Amino acid sequence: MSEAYFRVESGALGPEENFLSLDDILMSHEKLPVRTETPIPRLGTFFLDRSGGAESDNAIPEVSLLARIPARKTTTPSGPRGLGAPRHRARCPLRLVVFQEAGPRALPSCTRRAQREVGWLPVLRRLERGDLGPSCPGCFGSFELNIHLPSPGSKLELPLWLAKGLFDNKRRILSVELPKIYQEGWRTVFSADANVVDLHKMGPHFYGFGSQLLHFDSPENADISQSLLQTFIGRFRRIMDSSQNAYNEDTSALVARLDEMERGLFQTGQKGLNDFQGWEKGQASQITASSLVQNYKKRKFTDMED
Amino acid sequence: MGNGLERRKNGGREIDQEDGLRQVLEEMKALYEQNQSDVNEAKSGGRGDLIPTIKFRHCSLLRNRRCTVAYLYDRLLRIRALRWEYGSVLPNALRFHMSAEEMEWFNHYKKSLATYMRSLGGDEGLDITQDMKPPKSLYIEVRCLKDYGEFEVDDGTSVLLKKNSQHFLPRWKCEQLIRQGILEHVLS
Repeated sequence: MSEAYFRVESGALGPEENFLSLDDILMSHEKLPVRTETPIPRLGTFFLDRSGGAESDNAIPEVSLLARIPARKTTTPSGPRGLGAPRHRARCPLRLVVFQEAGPRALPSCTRRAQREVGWLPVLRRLERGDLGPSCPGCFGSFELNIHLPSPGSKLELPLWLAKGLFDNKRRILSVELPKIYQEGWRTVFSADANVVDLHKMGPHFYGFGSQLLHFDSPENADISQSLLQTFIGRFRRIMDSSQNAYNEDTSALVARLDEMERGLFQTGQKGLNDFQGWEKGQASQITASSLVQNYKKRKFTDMED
Repeated sequence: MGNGLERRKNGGREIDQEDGLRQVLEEMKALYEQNQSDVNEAKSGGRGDLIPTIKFRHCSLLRNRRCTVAYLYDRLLRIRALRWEYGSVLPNALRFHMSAEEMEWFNHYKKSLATYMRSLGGDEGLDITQDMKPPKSLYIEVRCLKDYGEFEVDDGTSVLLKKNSQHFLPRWKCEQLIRQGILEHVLS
């Protein structure tokens, strides 16, 4: 019961995220639709070829098209840093897919020139994940790819952190659109009955993400913030009641449709309930094993796969 | 870093991900170098159109940095908690998962805490990591959860802590063993 580990709290509901909060980092990983206002040239990124030399289209979904271009570099005299662009450097704008996780069949073979579809999600994940272990040793390659983001006006989905970083109030690089659940249509649904909505499915950080969305100076900001508040007010009672009354039972059904913030709230309520019940049973003075220790004993040397 | 963080959030401390960290740092280095070169080109070559690109890479660098720092900080929070919940001597199983720097940090923290505790309560100091729950009696009933061996009690006699044996022992001696999961406090 005496917990000595206190994680850094989320700041997302306030004006700024907390830099060190893991919750906020995860929240800001969620995507929102944006529109580019200017070309972004030469977005070369270094990364290792994860799929090795496999030419087939059955790439791991996570691997973007870019990684499947063979590691051999063809040097061209125009390469700025002596690194050549691969021979299929796009001269015509690449058509960017609005995100679905590119499935294996969605990745055209790298020799196909027609309409190259580049999923940004894998690239961006790599940028921030640094998770670049090769699937087959010896198939490493690192290379620079010249991508040009297409003509302004293209629609993309970018993670919140990137959108925040590139956004300014003159909208020189990109402009941000509201995700559907924060738009008029869904706001009406929420105002009708907030309890029926599965907020976990609607992007598990509904409130946090919605609050940070206000940074993008949308004309609908006032309505969005009202909607967030009213939605919470509508749902809060049920969360409080259920968390205070579910003792020693399986609560998965109760939390299934709650977003992360609400789940945190539910957990706090449960803790209060359990502590009180413990006290009533006279367990308040009982020394217990630390939960940290119990978890380690369960895990021992388990090597978690990345 | 996205996936790694997800796991860590759900509790526990994984093996020090030195390899993953190294790759992130390498990637950051690469991004930085590209930006350096592009900044030069933008300034001297008049390529102002590269600025969005530079900004893009910069955002990625900041993101990588944030994830790395938050990860390491979270580990420290858990290590600190170990001092309070487990004790001042960590078992090898846990030490295996810590980097040398983290071990050093733990030792510093231990020392700080010990210095502070010595400064309390007059000459003897005060062990504030004891009696985390209000004690009701000097002696408590405990049951042994796993074989531990000989355990010396204050008056020189020793008890054999064998699995499932029960004993009536001074509270202050047992507290740590209970927290470590070796004994169980039995309420009468």
